[in-house]
Amino acid sequence: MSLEVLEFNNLTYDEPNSVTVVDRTVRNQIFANPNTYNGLSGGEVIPILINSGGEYVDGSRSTITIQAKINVLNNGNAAYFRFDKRGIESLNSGSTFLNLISQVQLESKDGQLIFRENYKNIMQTTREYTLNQEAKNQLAMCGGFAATVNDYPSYPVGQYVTFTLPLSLIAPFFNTASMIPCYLISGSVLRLQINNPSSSVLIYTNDNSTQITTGDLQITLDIQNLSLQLQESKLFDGIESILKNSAMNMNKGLSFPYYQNFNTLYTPTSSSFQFQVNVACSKASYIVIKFLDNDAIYGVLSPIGCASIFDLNGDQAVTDPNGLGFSIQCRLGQMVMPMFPVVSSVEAYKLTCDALNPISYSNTEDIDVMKDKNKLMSGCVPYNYYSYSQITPGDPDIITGANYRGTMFGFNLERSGGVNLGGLSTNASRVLTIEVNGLTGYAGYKLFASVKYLSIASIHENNVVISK
Amino acid sequence: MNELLEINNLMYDKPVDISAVANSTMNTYNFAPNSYENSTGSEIMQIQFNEGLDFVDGNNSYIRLKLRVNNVNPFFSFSQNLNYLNSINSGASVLNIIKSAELVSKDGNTYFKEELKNQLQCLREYKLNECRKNYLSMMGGIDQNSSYGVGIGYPTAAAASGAYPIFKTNTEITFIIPLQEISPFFSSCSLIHPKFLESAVLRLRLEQPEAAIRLLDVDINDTTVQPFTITISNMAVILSEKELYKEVEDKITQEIKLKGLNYAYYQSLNTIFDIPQQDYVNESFVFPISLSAAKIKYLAVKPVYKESLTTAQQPYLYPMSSIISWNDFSQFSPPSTDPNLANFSMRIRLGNKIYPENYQINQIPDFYNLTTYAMNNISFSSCDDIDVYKVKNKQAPCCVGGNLYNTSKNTTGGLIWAFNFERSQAISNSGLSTNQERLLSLEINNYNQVILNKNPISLIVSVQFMTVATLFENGEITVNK
Repeated sequence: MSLEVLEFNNLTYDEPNSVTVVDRTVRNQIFANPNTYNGLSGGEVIPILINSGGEYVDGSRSTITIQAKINVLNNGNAAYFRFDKRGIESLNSGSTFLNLISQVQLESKDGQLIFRENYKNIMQTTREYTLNQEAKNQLAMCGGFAATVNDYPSYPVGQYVTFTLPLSLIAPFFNTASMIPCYLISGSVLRLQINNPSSSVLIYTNDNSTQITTGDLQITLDIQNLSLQLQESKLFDGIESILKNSAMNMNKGLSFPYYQNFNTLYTPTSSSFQFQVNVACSKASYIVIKFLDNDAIYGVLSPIGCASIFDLNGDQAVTDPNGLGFSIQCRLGQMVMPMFPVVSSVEAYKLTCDALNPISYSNTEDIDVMKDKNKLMSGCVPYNYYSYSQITPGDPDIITGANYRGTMFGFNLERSGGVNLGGLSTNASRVLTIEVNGLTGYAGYKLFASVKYLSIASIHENNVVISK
Repeated sequence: MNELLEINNLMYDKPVDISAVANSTMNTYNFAPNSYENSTGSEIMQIQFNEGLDFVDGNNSYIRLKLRVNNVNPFFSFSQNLNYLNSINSGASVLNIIKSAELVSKDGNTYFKEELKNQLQCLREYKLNECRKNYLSMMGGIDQNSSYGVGIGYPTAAAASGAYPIFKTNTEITFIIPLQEISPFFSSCSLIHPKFLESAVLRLRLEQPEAAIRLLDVDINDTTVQPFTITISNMAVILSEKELYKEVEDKITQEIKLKGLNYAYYQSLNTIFDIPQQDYVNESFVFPISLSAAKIKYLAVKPVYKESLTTAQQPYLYPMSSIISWNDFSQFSPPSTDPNLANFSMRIRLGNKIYPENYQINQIPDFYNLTTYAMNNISFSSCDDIDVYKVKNKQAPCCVGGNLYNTSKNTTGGLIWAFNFERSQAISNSGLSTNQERLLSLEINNYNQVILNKNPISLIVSVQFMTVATLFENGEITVNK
């Protein structure tokens, strides 16, 4: 009888060993300098110098705390604000406090760009396909949809409100199992660009239910007490020494792999178009696109909610309620994915979920001897919210393709379903293209695309090199 | 030391591409024929897979079809149309229309053959989590939020909020069915070797439309209907195919030459027993299940109204729903005041063994606990282990809450009684064997029912067991269970 068999069956009955290499863990507060801003109207950049010292940073447990005040300058009836529409009609938009941040950027101390993501606010919807309902509920702490009350939380206008944003929302760089080495994070600068508050929040009167939609609201944002809370760990000296030696080794160095997103915007000018995504990377994981109503920027509609299929096909109640009314396909150089144009919303939904699901073997029924393969699935956008039919009793006509603002179109670029990092490469001679045909309602919408790809920060004695 | 660094995620190495897949494609293969007009049920739809396939990723493959319900009533759904809890855990979906599924190899070996596929969709409800249930709403099913009636109303009418999605009749509607839902054969981490599928035939038998679909009038109310037909068109399988690197494929070919290639998967034996219509006072039944298998995983029993197997158009008959009240199965006279008492007892025999050993199950919470335990395929769900490496403590699946399993003796359409045969709680593939000399049987005792001829009950029984398909060098395939 080998010990291994006992171990598989959890029958070893040994005192558990501690395998931690962390000597101590602290939570440090680092204030932005300056940490107070008044009258922000969008476009301003807030820098935060990350002076984390010689500790390793656990990004997934670190946060940004911010006190924010929304001011409405030209409407005395404004009493409350939300980050999205009252009620459930935008429950899958992914809106949070991050609506107020349009771009995030991290620069190493020697000036290397570790990541930069445009349209951070808009592409929050992607998150809805990657997390589970419990994690979505947690994000109510930063203004996200609160499932318990089926509404977005409302906050008073003209008063400071404290929000806590997990750093993992800022970028996948901060959302890794590996702690971020001090050589990479210390001295770096995180820059947050503020989005126009008028297109980030929706304003309600003092009954907290009537939205103010008339007139151009002049909305500004005040910020105070902006700070980072970093979860920092000091490693045992022996471990620290090994890692430091690796960093000093010119041939090896330390490599910190992480994902980042290339987000871009395209304005369709005809119902059929090809949109080339100009990103060069060696391992692209997926591409996902969404359409946003042009009116959203005026603070009337959901600030970041996706257009519905009904909107996109020109308000046609298409005969097939699970039909798109247009077709969509992805190309990479000479390859086409899938081999056929996607013309139904059920297929678009399945491909999107499969592309964005970060869990392998979700709900498989494998023999799974060690019970370590079958896993549970992520995703908070039911198909019934992605595209559904509105039926009025007594009226045989239906509206097809309505949504709850989470309708995206994704394509997986990973070769393998089992392991990651099998993503395809894209460059100027192997262009990633989205091909859309018959999008009748193109005129009222903008297309936002996001490509997730692998980046590696190579840390050497004197410098950091970012490759992708 | 490197091991310690790895455990603590402090390796800081460039990640290595370990994918064995050179190229990935999604290809369409049409059923032949790919249209079935005015079906009244029992038609067999089939597809023979081509030669020249790549390795198939069953998890990401699916069936695409267009369904048209032919009737003068304007709407239909796959289950209840109102905001009631009667059917939310039935698992009803477009899979309602498929009564049985079978896959046969080119040389005639049956990989799997599962009857009552549609009726046993409720088993899924105990295996998946909320996110997956929501995902599968693309098959025309209900999502978790709507099930509780606090979420979304698809129609604008308040009366219909929280219901199953409603579709128009006389209209072609596109649906997809993940191949995973057809059989666990397609729900494996392992890619399926092309030789297993080349020239194999997948057959799907259609259900009677009036048993699978609930018709609704213009006010979205139930309606009494005569038998009607459905039309299925554009039916195709979309296979996610993976071309492996040549070296990897050569290695697999070498393995086949040496010892053959084994592909292990689960399949189910599904059968049905009718309870004879008469008055019962403390009666006992034994239902023998004729199965010969080396490793059985679980046995699940679903009580249904016999009438629902042929029609789902009565007020209390929802497609694919179990009985809606525990008391409809068995009831003391006078009725018990204990809402958690089952009014009957049950246990399983396997040869000379009895489960549970020294008592009979007659408490509903006991039934629920054993059922969720048997159906759960995640080890150590919600345990509080010391878990040094943080790999043991996991989350539990199951979308049938305890309160929905028994709401004052009412059910939510997904009532099953299940028993586990895995010996180990930690690892799988430890199930027991059954054969003619070691017969598996279901025993019901203290059965009471005094209402003669009202809602006769049938028991649908499903036994899941392991199967191994072996591919040999000469292309021969054997299937062992």
